This record gives sequence, C-alpha cells and structure tokens, in this order.
Amino acid sequence: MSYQVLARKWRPKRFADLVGQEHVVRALSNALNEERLHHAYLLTGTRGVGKTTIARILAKSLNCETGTTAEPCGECSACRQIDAGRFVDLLEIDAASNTGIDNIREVLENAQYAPTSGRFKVYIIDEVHMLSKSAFNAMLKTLEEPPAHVKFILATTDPQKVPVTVLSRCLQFSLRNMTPQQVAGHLAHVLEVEQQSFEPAALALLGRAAAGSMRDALSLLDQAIAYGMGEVREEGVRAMLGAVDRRYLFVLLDALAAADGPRLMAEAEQLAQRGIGFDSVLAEMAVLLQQLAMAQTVPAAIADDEPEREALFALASLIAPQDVQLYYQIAIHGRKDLALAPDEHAGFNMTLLRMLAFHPAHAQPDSVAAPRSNTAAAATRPAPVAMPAQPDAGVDGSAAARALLAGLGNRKPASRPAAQEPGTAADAEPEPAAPAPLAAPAPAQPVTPAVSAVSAVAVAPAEPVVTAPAPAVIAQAAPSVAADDDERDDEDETELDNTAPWDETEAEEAMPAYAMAEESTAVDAAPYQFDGDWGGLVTQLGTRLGASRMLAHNAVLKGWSQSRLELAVPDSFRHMATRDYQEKLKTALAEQFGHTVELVVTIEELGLETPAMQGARHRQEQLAQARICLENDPVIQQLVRDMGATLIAETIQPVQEL
Amino acid sequence: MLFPWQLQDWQRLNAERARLPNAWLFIGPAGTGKLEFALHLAQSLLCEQLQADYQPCGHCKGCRWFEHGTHPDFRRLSPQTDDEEEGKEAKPGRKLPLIKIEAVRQVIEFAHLTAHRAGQRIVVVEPAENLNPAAANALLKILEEPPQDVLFLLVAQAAQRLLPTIRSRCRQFPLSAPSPAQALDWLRQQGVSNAEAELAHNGGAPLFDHDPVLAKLRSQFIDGLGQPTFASILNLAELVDKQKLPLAIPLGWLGKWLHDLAGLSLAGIVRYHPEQQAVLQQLVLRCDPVALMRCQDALQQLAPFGQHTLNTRLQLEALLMDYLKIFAGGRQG
Amino acid sequence: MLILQAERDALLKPLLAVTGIVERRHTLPILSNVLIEKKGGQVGFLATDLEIQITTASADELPGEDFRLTTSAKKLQDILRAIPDKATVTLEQLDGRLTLKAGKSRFNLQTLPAEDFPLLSVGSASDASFTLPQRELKRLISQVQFAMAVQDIRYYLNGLLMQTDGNQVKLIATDGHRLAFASADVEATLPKAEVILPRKTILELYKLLQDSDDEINIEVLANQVRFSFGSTVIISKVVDGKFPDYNRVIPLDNDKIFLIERLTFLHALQRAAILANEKFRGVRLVLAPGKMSILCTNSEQEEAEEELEIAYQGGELEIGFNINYLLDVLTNLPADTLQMAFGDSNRSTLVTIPDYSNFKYIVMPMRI
Repeated sequence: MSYQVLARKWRPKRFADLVGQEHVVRALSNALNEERLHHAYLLTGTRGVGKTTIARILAKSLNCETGTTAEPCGECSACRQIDAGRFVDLLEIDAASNTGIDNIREVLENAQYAPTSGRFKVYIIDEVHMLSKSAFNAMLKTLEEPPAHVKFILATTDPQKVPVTVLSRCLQFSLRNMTPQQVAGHLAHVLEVEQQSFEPAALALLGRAAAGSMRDALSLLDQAIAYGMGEVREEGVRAMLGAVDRRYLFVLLDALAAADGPRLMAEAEQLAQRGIGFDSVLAEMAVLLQQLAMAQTVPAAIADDEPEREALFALASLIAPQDVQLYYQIAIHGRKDLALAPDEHAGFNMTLLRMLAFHPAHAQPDSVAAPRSNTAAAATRPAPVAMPAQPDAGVDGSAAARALLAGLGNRKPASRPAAQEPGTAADAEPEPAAPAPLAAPAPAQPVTPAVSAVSAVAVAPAEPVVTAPAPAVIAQAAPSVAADDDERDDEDETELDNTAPWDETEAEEAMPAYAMAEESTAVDAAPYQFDGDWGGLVTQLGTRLGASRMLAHNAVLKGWSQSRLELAVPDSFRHMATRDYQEKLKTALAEQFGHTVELVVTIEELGLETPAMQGARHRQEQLAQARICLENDPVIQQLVRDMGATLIAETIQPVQEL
Repeated sequence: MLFPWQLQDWQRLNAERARLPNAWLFIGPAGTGKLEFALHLAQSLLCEQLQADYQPCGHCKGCRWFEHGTHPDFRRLSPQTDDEEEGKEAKPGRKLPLIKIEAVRQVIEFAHLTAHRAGQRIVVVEPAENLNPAAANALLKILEEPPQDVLFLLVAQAAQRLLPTIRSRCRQFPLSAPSPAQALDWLRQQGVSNAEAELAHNGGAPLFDHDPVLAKLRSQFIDGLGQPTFASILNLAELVDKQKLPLAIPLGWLGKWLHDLAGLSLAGIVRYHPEQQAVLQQLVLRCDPVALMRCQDALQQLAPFGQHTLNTRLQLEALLMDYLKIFAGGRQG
Repeated sequence: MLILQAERDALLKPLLAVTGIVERRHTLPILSNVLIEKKGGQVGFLATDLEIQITTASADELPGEDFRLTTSAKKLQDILRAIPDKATVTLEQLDGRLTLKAGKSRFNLQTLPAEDFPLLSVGSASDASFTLPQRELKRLISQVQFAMAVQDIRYYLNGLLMQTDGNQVKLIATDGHRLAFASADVEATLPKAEVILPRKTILELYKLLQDSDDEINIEVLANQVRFSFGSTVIISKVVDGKFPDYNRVIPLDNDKIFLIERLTFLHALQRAAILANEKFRGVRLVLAPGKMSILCTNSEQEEAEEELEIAYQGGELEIGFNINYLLDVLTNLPADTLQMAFGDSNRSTLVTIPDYSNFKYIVMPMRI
C-alpha cells in the first residue's frame, strides 16, 4: 500500500484502538454483547474525535460474519469490505450533498429493501445538521420505526442545529475532546510504531495545538515530520506551529503599558516578520491578559510552576486591572474583526493602536473609550481617572518590574527589590473573599522581596478567619495594582454578570466576574444588618451576585445569623450549588455585610418558596391583576362589544420586559 | 511559474513528495502568490517530462494543456458569479462570489473516474474561504479519503476562516511572503510606475491588480482625506458614487488612511502612505485618537456590507462625517 | 488550402459514430469539438467527453496531405446531414478556419488547435484481452445493464463490473436491491482481472454495437478498457473503486422452487402493474401449492389480482417486491422458461435459467 497520511492510516479499526471515548465504547460494547441495540444513534463531537470511525466499527460489529459482536474479526469478507469502503449494505451519506427532501426520500425508500449480503443495512449520515427542515421531517417516521434490518448512525459536529424531534428518536453519544495528554500519548505510540524519532516536548506542543481532535493531531504530526525532515523536535514543532513564544507577548504588553507607541509597533513588526499568524497572536494575547487579571486578583491561582510566573506578576503590576480588562476586550474584538481589515497586518496594528489610544496616558478624561461591541448597550468603560496612570505610581516598583520584563531574554529570576505596593494595606479594605486560612504572613507593609512575593501579600486586617466549607479558591489581597482601587467602577459589572470565570469555551466577552467585583467594594456607612429576608437580600445584591445569581435565586434560607447563612437548594439546581458558585455568593455577601459570612449550602427540598418562585408568583399575580384591569376597562369593553375584538391574554407583558 | 521569494518553499515542498498528503492547504498573506505556487505544483505533478528540481518542462502535452487550461486531469474550484455559471463573461459586481455545491459535486464525480493521462488528478480549491457551507461539507468525505492519485490543493489567506472540519483534513503549508526588497524589485521588473508608493499601499504584497484608473481615483480620494473639510467630504462621496465603486473600495482606502493616521499619531509609524508623510504630520497635530477609533468603529460596522447594494454615497458621507470629527479639536460636538 | 475531398457519406458515417458522446455543455470548449486527423490515406475522427474517447476512421482511402484540426462536432454533423447524399464535400484550411464546400454551399467554421485536444494516454500492457462477436456482447450487456445503479452515493455501483477468469468473462450489475449476472465463454485463457465500466460507457457501447457476428476485441488495461470493432475504437476510463463481492449475494439455500414460463409471468405482472402504487411499485406474490397469486394495490385502494398455475408443492409464502425489478428481469432474460427460488419473505430471491449457469438474477424483497 503506497503512502497514506497518518490520519488515514491510523484510523482505528477496532473499539479497543480508540483513544478516549471509553464511555461510548463501553455502552456500545454492552449493547452489542447483550444484543440490545437501538435502531438510531446520534454521535456528536468536534471534528476528528471518532464519529465516523465509531460508526464504521459499529457497522462491522453488526455485520461481522462471526456474529453480532463488540469485537468484529476484521478478517471475514464483510469486515474487509467495510474496511475497504465497498460494502454494499453500508451507505455513507454526507448530508451536505443530500440536503433536499428528495434525496432523503430516496435514501429512505432504499431502506425498505433487505440487505443483500449483510445482516443489517447501515446508514451513516454525516454532518446531519445540514439537512433541510423538510428533509428532517421526512426522516422522522423512519427514524422512529425503521425496518428491523436497518440501523441509522447519524453524526454531527453541530447538534444544536438538529431538531429536537430527531434528537429524541436517537440514542445520543457525545464524544469528548481528547486531552493534550491523551493526544501526546497516542502520537508517541504512533511514532514508535512508525519508527520515527521524536522529542516528547514536541508531542506535548502538538497535543495542545490539536485542540481536542485526534485527526488534527495526526495531520499536524504529518506536517511536523515533513517539516523536520523526518525528525520531530520541539524547536521545529514550535516554529512550525508558529507558536507565539510568549516572551514576545510580554515585551509587547510591556511596551503597551509604558504607552511606548514606537516600541510597540516595532515589536509588532518583528512578530509579523516571523510569519506568526495575527489571529493566533491576538488569541494568545487574550489568554495572557486573562492570566494577568488572575494574577491581579487571585494570585494564588497562578501555578507555582507556571513558566513565566515572575514576568506575569511584573506585568500585572504595570497595568491597571480595568485596563487589562479593556485591552482584553480590544484584543478579542480585534481578532474577530481581522477579516474585515484591509489586510490582516493592518487589522492587527489597529488593534494595538486602539489599545494605545485608550491607554490612560492618552485618553481624555471625559471620553468614553468604548471598544465596539455587538450589543447596542456599549460596554461602558470606567473613565480613566485624569490623574496620571499608575505606571507612575510606585515608581520604584514599576521600574523594577520593567527591568524584569526588559531582561526577559535572560530569564534570570529577578532578585531585585520588589514592586512597591502603594496603598495596599493602608486602605483597610474589607476583604471580599475568604482570606487565607493559611497563616498569611503578617502582611502590613508591602515591601516584599521579589516580584513573586506580590502574590503572597495577604492584606489581612483583623478579621475573623472563617473557614469556608469549600475553600477551593483562596483569594489573597488584591496586590499592588490596588492603587487603582479608587477607580473601581460598578458599571463594569453589568457586563460581566453572567459569565462564570471558569468557562471552558474560548475567551468570551468578559473577564472573570469576580475580578472586577473585587474592586468595587462598597464601603458602607453603617454595617449591614440582615433581617432574615432572603428574597429582599437577593434583590438588594442584584447584579453583584454575578454568576451565583442562579444559586441565590433558587435557594431557601434555612437558618441564619449575622455571620452565617444556611441555604437549602433543591436537587434540580444542584449544579448551581458547586463550590465555585458558593464562593462567588460568599464574596457578594461579604461585600454586603461588610464582613465575611459563613455559607453552608445543602441539597434538599424544604418545600419553601425560593426567591425565584416568589418572583414568579409575584409576576403571575401582576399579570392576573393586569388582565382584570384590562378586561374591566371601558374602552376595551367597547372594542370587544362593538368591533368584535378579542383580548389575547397571553400577550400581556410587564413593561420592563419589552 | 514561481516567484523569486518562493524558491525556498519549493525546495521544502519537494522534500515532501515521497509523502504526498491527500490535501495540502497553502496559507499566507494576500497578494503574495499562493495560487501561482499551487498551480505551479499542479503543473509539475501533471508534467510528463519533469526537469530537475521537479520543475515542469513546459513543452510536453501535459504542460501545454495545463497552460491552456485544458488539462483533463486538472480541475479548479473557484468562485463563479452567476454570469459565469450561465456561460457568460464575468462582470465585476457588487455580489460576493462563492464556490457552490454543484461545482463540488462535479469535482467528486471527476475524482471517481480514473485518470485521463494515467497519472495524478489534481483539484485546486481557491480561495478555500469562499466555499459556501454546503459546498464545504460536501467536500469533506472525498477530501479526507480521496481515491489513489487524487490530490487536493487548497489555497487560503486566513486558515481560521475555514471550517475546522476542512482544516483538520489538510496538511498545512505556510508560504513565504516577499521581503520588501524582493517585492520592490519584482514590481519594478513588471514596469509598474511609482512602485514604492503602490507597494506601500498594498501593504508590501506585490501581486495586486494594478489598475491605473483606480490608482488615480485613489490618489484623489487620499488628497481629499488630507484636507478634511465639509466640502471636500461631500466631494469624495460624490466621486466614489459617480464611478460606481462598490463601498468596499473606499472603505479599504479610508481604513488604510486611518491606520496611518493612528500609527503616526500614537507610534510614529506610517505603513501605507509613506509619500503622504508631510500631510499626515499636519493632520496628526489636530487629531484626537479616541475620535479616530470611533470612526474606525463606524468603518468596521460597514465593512461586512462592502459588496452590498446599499446607498454607497449616503453611507460614505456618514462615515466621512465621523472622519471629520477626528479633527474637531479634541471634543465631540 | 485544400486538404480533403470526399463523398459526404464517407465523412458523415464515421462522424456520427463519435458525436454521440459529445456533450452540449462543457467546462473546456475544445471538448465540443471533434478531432479530425488525416494520416496516410485514412481520415480519423475522434471525440471525447473525458470519460470515453471514441475514434473511427473513414472506410475508404482518401488522397491528400496529412493534417490535424478540431472543429465543432455538432455543427459539422448538422452541416453534413443537411447536404444532399452523394454530394462531394471539400475541406479547406486557412488561418485557423475550416471551409467546407459542397455544391453551391459554403461554410466557414472556427477551429481550435489539434495539440490542445486532450487525448487519453493509453497504457500499453493489457491485463486481459479477448474477442467476442458483437452480437454476443450486446446480448450480455442487455441481460444486466438494467440493474446498474443510477447516481448512487456508492459511486462504484454506477456502472458494470467486468471480470475475466480462465475461459470466462462475466458482467455484473447491481444497485443494492437487485443484482444481475451474465457470463460467456471465450476462447482465450484469461488472467484474473476486473474493472468497473462507467454507466455512460455501457450505454454508448450498446448503441454502437451491431447485431452481427463481426468480432469486437476487448482489452482490459490498467486504468482503462479498450473496445475495438470495425474501424471504431472506444477507450473508456473505469471507475476508481472496488465492486462488492457478488458471490456473497447469491442465496444458496432457497428451497421454495418452481419453474415458470417467462412470457406468462411477464404478462401477468404487466397487467397487475397497472394498479401498482405509482411511487413504490409494490407487488405481493403469494405462493401456495399449485398456484401463485400476484397482487397489486395502489394509493386509491384499487386492486389487481392475477393467479397463475405453477408446478409447486412447497410451503406457503407471501413476499413483496418492487414490481419493476421483476419486470426488468423478465423482459431481458434470455430464455423462455425460468426458475424461481424463494427463501422466506425476508430473504433474497434467486432467478435462474434451468440448465444454464450463465445467467443469474437476485432480487431483494420489499416490505409491503
């Protein structure tokens, strides 16, 4: 057999050869062994994770001459023909070419006939989401009750587009993205069998670049082998992937932080020269900015072995949090709009220039520095305070950080005096989140050695150390950039509301919600006294709840004191009660109460009314009231009487919802 | 034919001939000769008397047919306007052409028959971003598992705009862009007048359609932008409208101008209009970067509709109003 | 400059043989042209649709210099047809144009360079080569070609499988619902080879084959098949795929067997078909000792029933088919009596000719 690309050569022929997807394999194997087979399966998952492969192996399992088995022999005529793609009773249809209802009708008529040589006639319909609505409808009956000798295997990368009527007739399996480790492991195996030498670090890079898809990984591996003239080395792979070496990004952002336009553009030009795709630069930049925000608010979340830890913190000390947020937005939008620019280089430059334009050193006090957003309600930015931006604040500190970043080429650990953290401990700010149960080194004055210590500063004014039930995330004091806490702005939150900071999807609009929430500590005049009205409290907290809104609205107050709240959440909302959401709620509560509040959440049904239910009931009452009002209105009555009008009750809506 | 800056890429590619993929995806910036490279490769694979370095001979039947566009084992998938589909001449229009599913079906049929010349069968898809979704999906199966001796060559400027399912099935091959010196050299050899300015305007990409008429219009437009007054704005809009230019063209001109304005104002760089440095300097003195960004926003909003039959004049006037505001003295009205 | 002078028929006849495959719409303009080549005394005509290439030559020796040119096949054909028979036609070539004169008529046609014409490159080594009387090949094709798939997604079914093995050549066609098999003996001893002939090739070949004993020579080449008969040579590409293994399709244990007269069965079915469902074309066959009932119902609940006496003592059976699949085989089956072998209502049915192993037909039942 002449050369075939790896992705093709290494397509698994047996269930046992599949990487990942154990959950699917197990379920199917059981079904096959017990002969409890559904007649229609839907396999979903991103590209290259095994949909078509599993479908074909299943076809073999069904038609293997040794019997219906989870382990097709691979030797019999049926297995061989299926492997070779010429088994008459296996029809692989790509929905995209056959979207029309006539095509589907033909296929379905075909299903009437018994299989010619197999036990089952298997239809694999790929990218099934491309079918037209009428084609889907035509399929419904047959999907529901196909002839006994027919099996349908539908596959799609986009299950959202498949109508629920079809979904409900299929047994759905979601194939998982593979982890970089799984991918790297498999690539190593492939290379060993292929007798090609490689460096594990190279495979790790490929594993990440594959973004969950084994086929992508194998295609990239092919490319790497070609690129490296037969050897797969880390350096080569890095160059091949155009993997943006993060060091250059640090340099870029450092120039940006200093509002040094010429340097920024010079560095950008360098990147362009190295042929790195602008799309990936902006993507990586967004990731880096996100990390900066983490460094600024939850420093302990930055792993100790994070390669550029020091540089990260150095940079974090040079850019105000809201600017980090702003640049993030600009980067995301800039990336989206790359295609609209006269050429990508221009688009990239303009993105950087925009960041420069809104740099505190440039922007005018009153100008609203809104990056264009899709929604009409433009993301409002905090008006950068007219005072010189914080790069000037804490002169020593920033200089040190600068020096660190400048010396990035050498990567020597910075053993210089640290980032000065002006005003940190001084503002005895109430600690929003549960401060460290670990003995925070008595914090006080922030002259801390080396930049890494930035994270260790726990500004802990005397506070009860309350152990939280789920101490997962330990927020330490907002580090040096706290200088800008004065500029906190509540407006930010409206935008950040519903995003859980741990979204796996690629960087979306807003930054971690609590990143900003940290800033906006409202120093209340009088300490808050809770009166037991959970619903009222939830309303008062409003948008500050952020991601924990669902939790709060669907919980019932079980017991309370001024420093401890017990909530009960019904089982159906258990997913809203995970640690992360609880932490978020605690944060919001702490703000409101002015001190930390212990939070205990249990999953149980108390039969009481949650704020959500209360709200719903309230709404119903209002609607009923409105309806009565309308029905008794003389004008309406006249319309009904004289003109035969009908009041459509279902369309009555509160004004606020229009 | 290979461009001077592609010679190394050619060597690199030749090293992969022992391991031909089912599909290659050639990526690189616009206007740097990706299609030509792909075609050169296709020709070399169909040439019946290959020379050293896998270069096509140019004389054999295969080469002759290829150069005439009549090689029976070669197919090209490129966007067609409706006119072309009916067999008429392509008219430059305001509609964006796509590659449609019917063309893909024909190529699939073609791929399933054995070769005419007992060699390879090559399909070039360019630009791959212009496959409409149905066409792209229809291509997936055969792209992944083509018959023996069938090779797909995809050309794309922005790989991230392709369906991930398509990207996944290709071996990516980035092509080099020319250095500024190479690009300039080449342009001069082609006898393009005012090569430096033209090259700068095209962002360093030397393969652009040199249209002297359009270049003149552009010049006028830029001159107008250099004198931002109410009157000149109206003139510009009228100029564009009279020439029936699709909105995309002045948007592109303005976009590049804004880039240089912002670049000079904030970072001291000029990329597209080096010959207008003096004018730009003057403008920069009066320019408010934030207002500039707002104008840029407005431009981005319009960009997707570049080929739409909107009232170009109105749109442009509104946009140019925003342009004026950049110089309104730092404060919006 | 004068390049050719001949009687109209001498030109028209061979031209007609090749123009059949020229398509109206083409991606390449030169494909609507016919390549006319004079070498020595022969004038050859060549046309292609990129799937098949047909060449013919004029029957008689014609004087004149060698030349090569291409011009519109259709227009040339129309012109020659319109000229009176027996007329003398002259061809002149000047400045890339072809002038045709006959009597007082004068036609000036565009040409395209002959070098641009995409000729098939023909492999030299043949895997297998044999001859058959044209009549026989035509017969063989007619027995199976109706079963070819049409635009099936399993593209390898959109054609006809030709297999050689020992002294036999076999033709098989299937669309997944029914399969037709026909074979013939040949003199030569052939190696094992198989190719899938595209549908269009089969249809075109069938049109051109004569009902005569004149021989046709068939060569199976690496990626092509060459058919030579008379002065015509057809070279066809083959489908780049693998045909299913038809042996697995043949049911071996069908035990409900009986013989029946072809015409009787055919006519009964034709009558019943009148009231068969327009779309699904279903027919129910009910077997009982001594008789077979044929039942059709259409969407308006109208019914047709036929009863045939058969020499059958087996078990009862009710089985459904697409009636067209039965009509097809009965129309093309090369015998007066045939044997039906049924299994159960879900198994395929085998149709054969008693004492004749060179024909088989398998048809899948349908759920009625």
